[in-house]
Amino acid sequence: MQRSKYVAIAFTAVAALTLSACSSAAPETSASNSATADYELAKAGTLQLLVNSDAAPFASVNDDGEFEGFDVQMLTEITDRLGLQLDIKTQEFDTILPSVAVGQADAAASSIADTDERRETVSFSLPTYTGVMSITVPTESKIEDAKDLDGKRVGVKSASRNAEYAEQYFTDSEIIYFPAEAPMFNALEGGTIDAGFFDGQAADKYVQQYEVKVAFSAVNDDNRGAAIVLRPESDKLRADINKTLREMLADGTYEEIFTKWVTTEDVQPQLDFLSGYYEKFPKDSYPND
Amino acid sequence: MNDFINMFFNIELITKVLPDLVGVGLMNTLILAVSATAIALAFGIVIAMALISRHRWLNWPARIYVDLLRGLPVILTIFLIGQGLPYMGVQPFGPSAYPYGIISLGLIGAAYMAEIFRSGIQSIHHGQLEAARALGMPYTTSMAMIVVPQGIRNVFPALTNQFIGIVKDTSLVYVLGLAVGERELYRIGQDMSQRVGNLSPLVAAGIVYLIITVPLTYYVNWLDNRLRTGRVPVIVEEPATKAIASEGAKA
Repeated sequence: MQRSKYVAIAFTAVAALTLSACSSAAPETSASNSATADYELAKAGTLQLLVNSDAAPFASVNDDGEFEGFDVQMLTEITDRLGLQLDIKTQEFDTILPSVAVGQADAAASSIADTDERRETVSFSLPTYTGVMSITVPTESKIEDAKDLDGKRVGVKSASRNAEYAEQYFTDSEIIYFPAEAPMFNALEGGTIDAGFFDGQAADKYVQQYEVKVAFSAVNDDNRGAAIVLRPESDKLRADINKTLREMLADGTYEEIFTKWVTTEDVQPQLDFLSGYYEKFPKDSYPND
Repeated sequence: MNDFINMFFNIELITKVLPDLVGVGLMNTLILAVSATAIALAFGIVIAMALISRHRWLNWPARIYVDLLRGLPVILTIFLIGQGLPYMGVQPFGPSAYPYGIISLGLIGAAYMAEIFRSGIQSIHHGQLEAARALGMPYTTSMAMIVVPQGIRNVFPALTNQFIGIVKDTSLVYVLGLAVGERELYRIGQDMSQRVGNLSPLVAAGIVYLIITVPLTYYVNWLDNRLRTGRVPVIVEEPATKAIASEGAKA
């Protein structure tokens, strides 16, 4: 297996050399080669992608040990269209952005929010998703709206969009920070927090399986959604990915992928958000750029 | 190289996170570590006595306790105790994560410290116990007054190591969920690090850990040395010798 791969690479190299050396087709070939070369990927021709595999349905590892999910399939489709190989690794969220920033990987995707602070070190593609945030409470809880949260212990995942929102709007609640959603849910079940502020996705997953309900949901108006994380200097790659995202939204591929993976959410609000956003920013510069 | 410096040693971010680290994180880390160590010391010595006991009903449970709590990853034990107790409806300390974290770290520390105490106590020559017994002291008194104090003195540096270990393990209490004012050093560094996608705040947290652990190590080594050798006797120079010496210098 390994050997045949080397042979194939060697063959390609020889073929490329021969072509560029003596054939009249050479200019075209080298042009397409240099197109992928311009991406300045860590490994030429391969997009090295980091995901946090604790982020189903966006990215997770299935029973066969393969990566799957909305973000995984989006990136598979994008790299296919750009003629790149895709190489996926999983990593804790803590180190994902730094790894991309220093060039250990080319991209990252796991429903990662595009924020000003993060743009100091990495860049983002156009958004691929915007989430609702759901206050999740035990079924017997009397919490119904934001006012009921005053003086209550509200769990959030550290450094998430939900955390930012909670800090801004639930000022009279005691906000409790968790490293991930699973321990936060355990704490909700154990009764050490009164409510958990989950992504709509995660909340739906828990509501289906446990004695909890969504008290109310919120959407952050000034959010830019979740996007693919890229190295700051990868302008060409970003432009091409954005172009592909626009195509995928237009030709229905996005809708297909979204409905396949995100089964608990209606696709229409996503389509509205994305087409609105893509139209508002027709170039590759985004708000606050 | 510039990228590297910016990623790990961004002065602007370090100075931004430092007030929180020192003002909030340092205190919380010390509260967690010192309380857990107190539990670990008290409980550890009890377990150690059970470990060296000849009664199997003392010895075996102690053995199992040490094997279990030393064998499990710290984060797993914190999770099991800190989420397990409230889950079972046992919430004697309210919802805050601190008491559970302290108990978890204390119980884990006790397992390690029990072994340290045991080795220390067993390192004391049995002649000490025999001599005490021969003088008519009961077993428990001879252990408490003669053997154990000498044993503890021998393992003082090892106990400090354990304390340093606990200081570092306090970062794991975070899995139980912390309020803003409850965050310890690592958490504060990591929170900002996640927000800005840069590792400098974590480096800053690391520096504060070193400020606790390194001087402590040197202080304990110094103290240990002094306990071994006693105070360095002040050498009083004899006036006569001094006089001769100064005469010699003149000449």
